[in-house]
Amino acid sequence: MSLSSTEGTRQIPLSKHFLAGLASADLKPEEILESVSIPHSRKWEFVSAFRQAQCQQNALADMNAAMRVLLKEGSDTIEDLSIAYGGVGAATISAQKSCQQLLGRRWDELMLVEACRLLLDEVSLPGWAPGGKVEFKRTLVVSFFFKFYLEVLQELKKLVKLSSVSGSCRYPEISDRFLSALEDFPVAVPQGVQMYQSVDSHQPLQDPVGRPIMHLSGLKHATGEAIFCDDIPMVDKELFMALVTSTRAHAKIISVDFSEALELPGVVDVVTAEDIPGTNGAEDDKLLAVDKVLCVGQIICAVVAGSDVQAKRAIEKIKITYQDQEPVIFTIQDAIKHNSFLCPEKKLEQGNIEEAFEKVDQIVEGEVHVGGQEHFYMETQRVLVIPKTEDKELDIYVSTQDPAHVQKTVSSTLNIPINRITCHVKRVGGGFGGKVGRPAVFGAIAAVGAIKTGHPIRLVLDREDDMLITGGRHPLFGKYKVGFMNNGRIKALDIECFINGGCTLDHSEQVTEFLILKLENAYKIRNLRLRGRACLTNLPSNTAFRGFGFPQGTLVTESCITAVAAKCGLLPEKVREKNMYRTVDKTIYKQAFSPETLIRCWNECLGKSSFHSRRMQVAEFNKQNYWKKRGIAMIPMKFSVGFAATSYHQAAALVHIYTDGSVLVTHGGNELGQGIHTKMLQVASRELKIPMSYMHICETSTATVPNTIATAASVGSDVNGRAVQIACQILLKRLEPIIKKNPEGTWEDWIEAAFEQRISLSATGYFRGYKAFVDWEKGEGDPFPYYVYGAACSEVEIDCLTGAYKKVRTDIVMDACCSLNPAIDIGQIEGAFIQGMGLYTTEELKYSPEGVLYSRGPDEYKIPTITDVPEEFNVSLLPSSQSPLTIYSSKGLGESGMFLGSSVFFAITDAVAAARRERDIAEDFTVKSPATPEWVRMACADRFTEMIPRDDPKTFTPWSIPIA
Amino acid sequence: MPCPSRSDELVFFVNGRKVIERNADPEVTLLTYLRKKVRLTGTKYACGRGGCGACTVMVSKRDPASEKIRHFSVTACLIPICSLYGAAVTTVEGVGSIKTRLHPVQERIAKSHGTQCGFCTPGMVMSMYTLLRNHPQPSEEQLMAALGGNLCRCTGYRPVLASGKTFCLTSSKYDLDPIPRHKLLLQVHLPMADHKNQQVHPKTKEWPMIAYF
Repeated sequence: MSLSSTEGTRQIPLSKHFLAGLASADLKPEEILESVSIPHSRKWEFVSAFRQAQCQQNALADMNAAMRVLLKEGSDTIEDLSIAYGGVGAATISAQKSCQQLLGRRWDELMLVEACRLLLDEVSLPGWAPGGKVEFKRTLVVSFFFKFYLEVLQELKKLVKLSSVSGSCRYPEISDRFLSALEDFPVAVPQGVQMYQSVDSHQPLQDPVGRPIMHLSGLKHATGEAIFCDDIPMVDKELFMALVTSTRAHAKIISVDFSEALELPGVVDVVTAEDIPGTNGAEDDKLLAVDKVLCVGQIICAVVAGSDVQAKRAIEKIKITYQDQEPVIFTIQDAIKHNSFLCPEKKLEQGNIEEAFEKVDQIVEGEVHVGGQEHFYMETQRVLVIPKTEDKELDIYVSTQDPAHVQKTVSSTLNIPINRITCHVKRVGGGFGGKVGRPAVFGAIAAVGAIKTGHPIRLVLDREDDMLITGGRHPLFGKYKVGFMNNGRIKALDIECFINGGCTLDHSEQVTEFLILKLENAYKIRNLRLRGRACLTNLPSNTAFRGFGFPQGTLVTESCITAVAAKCGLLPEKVREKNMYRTVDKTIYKQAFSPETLIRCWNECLGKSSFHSRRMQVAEFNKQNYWKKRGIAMIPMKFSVGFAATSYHQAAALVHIYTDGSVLVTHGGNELGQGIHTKMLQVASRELKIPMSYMHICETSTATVPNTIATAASVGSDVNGRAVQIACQILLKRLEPIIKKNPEGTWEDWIEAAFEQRISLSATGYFRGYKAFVDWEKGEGDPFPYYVYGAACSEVEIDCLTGAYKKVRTDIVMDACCSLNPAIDIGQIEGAFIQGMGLYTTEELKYSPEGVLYSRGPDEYKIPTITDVPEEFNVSLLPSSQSPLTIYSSKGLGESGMFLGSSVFFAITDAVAAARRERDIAEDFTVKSPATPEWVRMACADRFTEMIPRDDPKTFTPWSIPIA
Repeated sequence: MPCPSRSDELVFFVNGRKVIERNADPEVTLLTYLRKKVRLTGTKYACGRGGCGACTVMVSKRDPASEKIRHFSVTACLIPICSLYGAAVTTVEGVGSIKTRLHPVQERIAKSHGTQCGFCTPGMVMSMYTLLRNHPQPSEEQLMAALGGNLCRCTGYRPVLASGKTFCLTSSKYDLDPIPRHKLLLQVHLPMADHKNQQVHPKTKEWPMIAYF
């Protein structure tokens, strides 16, 4: 390395002394690094580097290594060796002693065994090491060296061939089946095809329904002109708010001292529970903590200051003293032990499982752990509250899926009637369920600050705070007991699920209900019992997330199918087919439905993915490769949309026609990126028979359409589309006599005439939707308006030595019925699939033993990047299926694609199972999601996982704890 | 630009406009400066630690060795303004706008359905724009590398990539040809709303700015 400073330049070698941090071999404070020169390797010198991270790109390595060996010319004797590892300590570690001891050894199997022993001894990692993944890292220490060993042998082979120095020495042969260990997964450019049905050729050209119309805001997104909540210019006298959160998981608050904070420059005030004029949330779910805290990250108070920097500085000066309380519960297992639950058990049952279990050929029991998920909407939670001077009016600009809920919460918090509060939502930078309940909390706290100070308040959460405070998808622990015949037919199934709800109820009860209602997925099992409970723990409260329990729960069902297949020696897909709904039938809660399109999706997916021939290719690949394995899996899906409560199935729209003929459409749905505004204008355009260019949607506001429901549960376009349709039909009906009188006239003529004739050009459309209900006592009901069916087939390749994987190909077939906008719907499917893939593969939330969330940013929490997209990624919409219930027979596709991401998970477990079969290790292993490289590596047990030291869990406190 | 001695003036350029900061706060990042001071809000805050790419802008500097201008895509949340002396910053607003003219990168990402919530889009646009400034006809691999640091939670990336591939020399499947139609009224490939035959200028090797309407 060339270093330079005002005193001149000097070179230091990047050697053991540098790595050891010796002052003489390190940079001085006044020096800068000018260049690094890397020498060419010599003949008989081999250099290689290795790295393993949670995902392929844009990720810090869990562990990396660089290795160099110099062999004595023409021989296989080690003359010089250096090995360095990163990720096993605060700085890079050089395995100096091991290298020293290996000098003079021959490059052979005996040396490998000795090297592994030495390296594991020298590069030791304590069980409590920061960053965790201890056994994984220990395994990588030797796995990397093994890769290097093979690489050098391979290079030697080439060298010997080239220089024909044959005869001088013989190198150990590498079996062809081992060669695949040498290849890394290169970054591939994804390819793919999207298929959908074109509109009927008779459809008028100006009718946009069913066409792939671009997102209304697309161009504005691309130029930065699209205004999000925090892009609103600063308003006069505006102040900034920052939140103070608990650092203890369960404690009494002894004192809060903010005197020092108040003295800092720019600090205006501190808002506490005492400043709330109305109600402070619910008894067990307070907006601002009073006397006690129930989790790390609970909001205690808020600082209001002139700028964000000043507010955040003040937070550090607030002193809170706590007195810890018992019990402190984080894991589902602890919650069960303490009988700590948020709500009663939900249960559905059919047939007689006890009897059925007695008549089956085999019974298998298993456990499944599914980790949680962070929403990671790109736009963090934010709100701007502007108090008006008159009549206690408030204007609130907020990033939310449910402005009416924000409005209501602010009203009760401030003790001001709802009609004084207006919530505006222009657009939301991603919601995924995370902006259903939480924005009301931030809105209410900011509103208290606005009332107390009399100033407008802006509250923009940091990513760290957002991840810490807002919770996410419920982690799940599931147990199953399944009885089946040797032909794969499942006769009896008993599933019990526990979800980690966190410290407040939030949506946990509904999530439990949804989970149970959807748990059977696509399978008809005559004797079936499904039970679910939400655990009360000292973690931030978990909340709604795309799929609402379905993606976690159904992983249990599908894992159970895989286990049955393994016991019967059948393909999981055969067992799936055997147990799938085949004819018009009733679900476990006795709602009748026809699985016809489910079967069509499945068959179409089998065909499109060439499943059977690829299955054989996968088997062939696995025969030929020992260290790389492929896996393939196909998953069916039956997903019910909507809320299981009647009050949720309603929507309203307000359509104005102005005298110049332009149309302003307002409806109760919020634009979260899902293109609801685009779809609504497509509906209005068809109904009014005028081009979309006549129309505009400004924002969603509680002043134009009141009492709305959350834009969630995949039904936003369904219910609001009908409301827009109804409003347009009312208007058109009023215009009919005018049009009849002047059929050749233009739209503008008619509107002008209507105004002259005193005809109202504004109408409200109200849609009274599905009557959904469930009787939990009887375990039956009619909770869902319709089902979305789909199937996905994924193939992956894993590296058994590092746990890395690449997604070879995914094919999705989805039943979208008659899509309102295939571009938007395919976008929803692809987006949800990739998000689901993230849930099941790389998105891992880590908590400390004290219940502190470690993963608070994109460095520690890995959502999929562009390089995680399957190399071949095909999506097709099933042609021409009919669903009479919804607007133009379209289906809501917001959530369903999420679960199809599990096909990647099952492809990975399929590949792992292939590796274990080959090594004669039991095929059944604990199913744990996400299937991270760490999990894959450790599940592919081999001589290297066996040689690492293991710690007695009782002897140390691990860096992180699993909470599912 | 040579640094005048003993000056407390920080001089750099934002979208071609000279900005002069006297006694610049060394703690202020380019992101804060753009959003709060210059009021260019197209550049978004999403993580604050260079991990998501939502605040990507292009910084152009003269390379002292080669005397050539070099363009870098940077995450504005990590760049102290004081490190920008003499540099030119280009934000998404400087690339193009609906009011003036759209740049093909902007037009094509939108028309390829590569935006959903749109919060990551300005960053995506800037990563692709910088790539095209450095390589007017990049390879698909260069495109992948350029977008590797831009997170998107909505689209699943496929349509974003599809829009970028239209600029690539080796673009095979997503070319500019008319959309093939399947016999059974099935449309294969999501079509991009039509765009004119945009080509790299033979001399300047740059993509043309085109008028939208």
